[in-house]
Amino acid sequence: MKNNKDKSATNKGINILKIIWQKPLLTILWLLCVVIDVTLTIVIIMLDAKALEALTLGDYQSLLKYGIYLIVFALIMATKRILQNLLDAKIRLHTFGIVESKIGERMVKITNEVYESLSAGSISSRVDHSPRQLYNAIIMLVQIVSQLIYHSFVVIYMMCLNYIIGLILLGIIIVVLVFRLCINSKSEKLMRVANDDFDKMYGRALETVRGHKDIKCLNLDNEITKDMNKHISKYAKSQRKSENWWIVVDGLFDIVLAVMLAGLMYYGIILYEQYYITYFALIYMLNNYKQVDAVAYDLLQLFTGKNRASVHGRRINQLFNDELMPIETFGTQHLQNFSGQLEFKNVSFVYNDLDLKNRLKADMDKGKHKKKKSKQVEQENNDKTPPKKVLDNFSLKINAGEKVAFVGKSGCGKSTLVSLLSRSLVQSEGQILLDGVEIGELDKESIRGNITVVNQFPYIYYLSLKENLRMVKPDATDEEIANACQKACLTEFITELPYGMDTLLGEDGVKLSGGQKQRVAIARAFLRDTQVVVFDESTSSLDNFAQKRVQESIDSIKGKTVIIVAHRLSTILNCDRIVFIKNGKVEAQGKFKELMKNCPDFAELYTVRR
Amino acid sequence: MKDKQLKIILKKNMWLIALYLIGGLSISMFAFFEARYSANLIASVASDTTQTIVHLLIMCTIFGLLVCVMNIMSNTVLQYLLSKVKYQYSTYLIEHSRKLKTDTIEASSSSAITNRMITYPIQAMGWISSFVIYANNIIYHTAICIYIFCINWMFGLYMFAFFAVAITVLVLTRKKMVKYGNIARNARTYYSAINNEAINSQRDMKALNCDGYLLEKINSTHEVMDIADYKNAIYRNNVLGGNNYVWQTYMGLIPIVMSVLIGEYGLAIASAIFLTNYGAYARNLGNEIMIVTDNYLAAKVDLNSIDEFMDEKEFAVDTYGDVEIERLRGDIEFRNVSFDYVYKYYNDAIKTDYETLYAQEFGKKSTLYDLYADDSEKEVIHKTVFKDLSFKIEAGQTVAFVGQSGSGKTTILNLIAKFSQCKSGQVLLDGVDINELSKNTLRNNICMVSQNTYIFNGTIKDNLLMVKPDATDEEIEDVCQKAYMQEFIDGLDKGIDTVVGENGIKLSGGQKQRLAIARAFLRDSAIVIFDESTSALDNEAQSCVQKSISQMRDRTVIIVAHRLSTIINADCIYYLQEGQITNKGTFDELMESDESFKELFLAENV
Repeated sequence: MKNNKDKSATNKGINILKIIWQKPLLTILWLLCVVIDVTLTIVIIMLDAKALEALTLGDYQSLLKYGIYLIVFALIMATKRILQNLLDAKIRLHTFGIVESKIGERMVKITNEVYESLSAGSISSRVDHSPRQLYNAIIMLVQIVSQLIYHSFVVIYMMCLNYIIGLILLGIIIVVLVFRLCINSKSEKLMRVANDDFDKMYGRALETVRGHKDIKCLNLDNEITKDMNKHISKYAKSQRKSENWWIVVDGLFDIVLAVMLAGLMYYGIILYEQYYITYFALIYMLNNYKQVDAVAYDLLQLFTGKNRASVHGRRINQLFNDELMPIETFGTQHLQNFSGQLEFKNVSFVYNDLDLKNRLKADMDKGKHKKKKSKQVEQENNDKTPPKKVLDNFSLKINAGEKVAFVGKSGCGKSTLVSLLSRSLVQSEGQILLDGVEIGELDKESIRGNITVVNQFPYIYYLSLKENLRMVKPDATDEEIANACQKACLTEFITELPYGMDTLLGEDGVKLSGGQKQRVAIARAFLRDTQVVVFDESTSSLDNFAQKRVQESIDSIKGKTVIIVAHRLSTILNCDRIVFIKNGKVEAQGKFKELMKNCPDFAELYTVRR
Repeated sequence: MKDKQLKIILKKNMWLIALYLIGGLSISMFAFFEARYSANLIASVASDTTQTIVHLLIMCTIFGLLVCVMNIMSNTVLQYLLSKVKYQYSTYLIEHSRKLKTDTIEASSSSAITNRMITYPIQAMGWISSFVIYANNIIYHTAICIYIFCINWMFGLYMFAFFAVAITVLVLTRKKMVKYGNIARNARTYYSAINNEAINSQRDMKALNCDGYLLEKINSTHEVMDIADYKNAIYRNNVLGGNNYVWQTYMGLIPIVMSVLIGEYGLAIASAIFLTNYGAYARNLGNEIMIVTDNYLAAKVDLNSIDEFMDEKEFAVDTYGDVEIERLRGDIEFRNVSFDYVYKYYNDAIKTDYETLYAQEFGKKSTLYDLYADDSEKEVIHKTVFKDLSFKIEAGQTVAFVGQSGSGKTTILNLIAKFSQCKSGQVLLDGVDINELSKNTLRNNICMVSQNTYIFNGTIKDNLLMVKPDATDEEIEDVCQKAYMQEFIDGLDKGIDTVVGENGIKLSGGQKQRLAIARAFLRDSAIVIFDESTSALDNEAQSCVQKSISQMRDRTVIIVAHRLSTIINADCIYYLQEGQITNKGTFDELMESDESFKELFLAENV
């Protein structure tokens, strides 16, 4: 039963069925429970009816007999339930462990572009929220199925008592179900609107919290509050609308159903008066005719539950869909003893607008209206004008052990070059060669293990300072760590921390200033000590002294290729070569003085004005 | 629930609540009558005339229909009520969140706050709504159970005995169930947090090739979460399974009890049928009471989190005075101002305690202290940033603060903008203590552009218009020019109408900074603070922006920048070292008189 329901989650990424089957004993026991459940349900319904029959006949001795049977089976049922819940919990423990690991593994591999075209929330909800929802939906389905079995056997028993009434009951079930399915589709639509409104509202609220400082600075309180209120009111309304639709329409239908069933019971009474059915049969029907409603309701729940499970299954699938959320791919060749020689050969790069939000949405709708949506999306894509080239036929060779600076106005493509080098982005055309080997053919270790990038706004984890450093080199000795801190000009800062190296940083911990964060990131780079180090504006927030000391450390790096992207003159002055980039191309290169002389654009950038 | 607001809101909607209660009560009443007539119907089928039977059937149906109709009405009322309360409560909480102190917000994660102002109130409403719906059923089922007592007290006692046992089991185990539930909940929060970290840091994670490390962290966290969930499920299973035993026994014994009652005490068959049928309601009642308490507790957890949010100690709010000044001149004075950083940590003793406790519970070591530990158990450590700092800035001056990182520059700016509160001393604006100034005076007259300004999702133009909704196109063009934005705007597909994404993700660091500067120009307040706000600009853009800044007339401009070339033109430069102003003067004066400053400047230009 459960296994059938799991189909929705079956896909190339995660096959829950297979994962569950890794524990065959648990699964078999679980299935056994299901078999016991079905058998006992039937037995108990029969006994219940027999007991009722004995009761109506006043035969209290048989009543006692059936009563004893019943109590025995009831206790078996209760025991079975405990066992089954235990198995459920065990299966969940096993399954979730694997599912979460797989999702985590996938998550860290997804490409940069995906992350940047989606809000963090839409990925984290898939990672965090959907598996739980999927599980809840499955549990709900299992419960519904067992209820359904119970309710349907009661109805079947009524059919056995009198086939005409039985047929009428069946007819009513079908009518009720069809009707409910009809109103359900509209209800789901309304619910989706409400959910969208909630997401929008939540996103907005999150934004107001993140931007709180600027809201205060700019005194935007009133505008923000007005805007927020608009969103809340919209959500509250759409939520109410979706609830009300079900309440009113289904409520009205309940009235019709009540009248129909009353008619049916009237018919039953007539049958009894004319001795077509026994007193017991009539009582049984009077007692249980409402189960018809329950059967129809269970069936509907089964349907909606399956939908919900498949929605969340699909959301998880999207994480594993290479077209929607591609993961980074690497080659297989391994570089032994990488020297640090780099070359860009006619590299071009265009940011393609992934338009992921719409594509994910279209993918969610695919199950229902397959062709319509995907066509629309294609059209939209065709309408777009080709985006601007960030890099255009860029060629540059960097020798092993050379110190090179990339200089240019913001937006000229410097950071893109850096991303290409660490293969956070993949070039649209051309080649990037590491020791003469195209970057696409190299394995991950050869690229990421040999190239370190220090960003301008580095991320500091909610870990201790030591762990923040050690994460890049788990086997680093304390000495190595101290040394890296020394080079990154962190030592003084550490002595000021309440717990020194063990002080917790980041969210909830010590808030670091921009400059302190940058120094932690630089210390990480020194600790990693890779063949190529890229400093992408990584000292922009340092004061001149710290900057100077860090610069000295950088200058003292020997035998490694160092690339520096910076605006500040002092940072780049000591480089072997300065590459001036303009409009995605190398405009000029050489020593600082040469450039000041030969390249007017460069000179303009570095003429101090008063 | 310490916070009064929910009560006030509920009071405001009193008539809706009353309407709903009337509806609910009448449903219970109608349902009760339906049950009674259907009992009579069953009894009469054996003996009475067809006419009586049909009469009873009709009565039964009528009450059934009344229940249906009232259900529609009262549920509609309930939804209306809920959506009103939801709106009013969230609005109130969001308004409150706007008042929170900056350092409070910075000290907790943004989702912790957003959940408290959006998710929890809505969740609580959900719990409350199912609470009232079940409460209705409880009334109806209680009525039936009392009726059963009236018909046959012996069966009534039988019923009551089981009921008492089941409820006692629940009451006794409740506390532990909540405890396990909380552990599972905390573990989930942790899991979300670590996932979010991985997502937010993905750039650096890849650049540093440390995805393996993070993955391990994620895996160990979800392992803990899964075990916590498992423990929670097992405990619940034991409790609920026990409860189920009680009721299964109760149901199973009914026929036996009936046979005794009929055989020994001559119970009428019709009554026996009725008791058999409606005896099951005792079980329903038991389950409903369980669900209702569950819902109540869940609602309480959510409401407690909201209470925390409203609590001054946990989430401090800004307070303002009532001195109203339309336009400040821009004098700023610090009088003996002292400021401390406050850190909160679990000390080693607590860590060891919890590690042991954790090892006992889960059979493995973990550093997730938060699963058990409370915020109040953290040790508080103070660190002095500066002591007795005094200086005065004249209106209309352009002033720069220079010093190494950690010397207290940003703290000074935060104090001027009242993002932080000083420990002792006074900050005066135009000679008035900053605490006495009204909110509007403060916020309309001071504008701060920080290094990493938040850019709102929307177009570039939206971000500008936000500050001044009635700005003309010319004004906007003008500030774009001043902030050197035109250059990159022209390169964008849709120009100024380009959507910039959440926190301006589609813009580069330098572009974001320029947009923030343009916002400040448009706002044109009396005091403008630039905190490293041009750090990501190239020299050309930087000098252009600098020129625009120096052209600001009659404004007090405060600049903090590491690139000293950006502050050469300042009227006065304060040189800070370790929380003290060691020197001040114009650039040339400082270059002459202060060796250390000179060194700092020369370090830049080598």
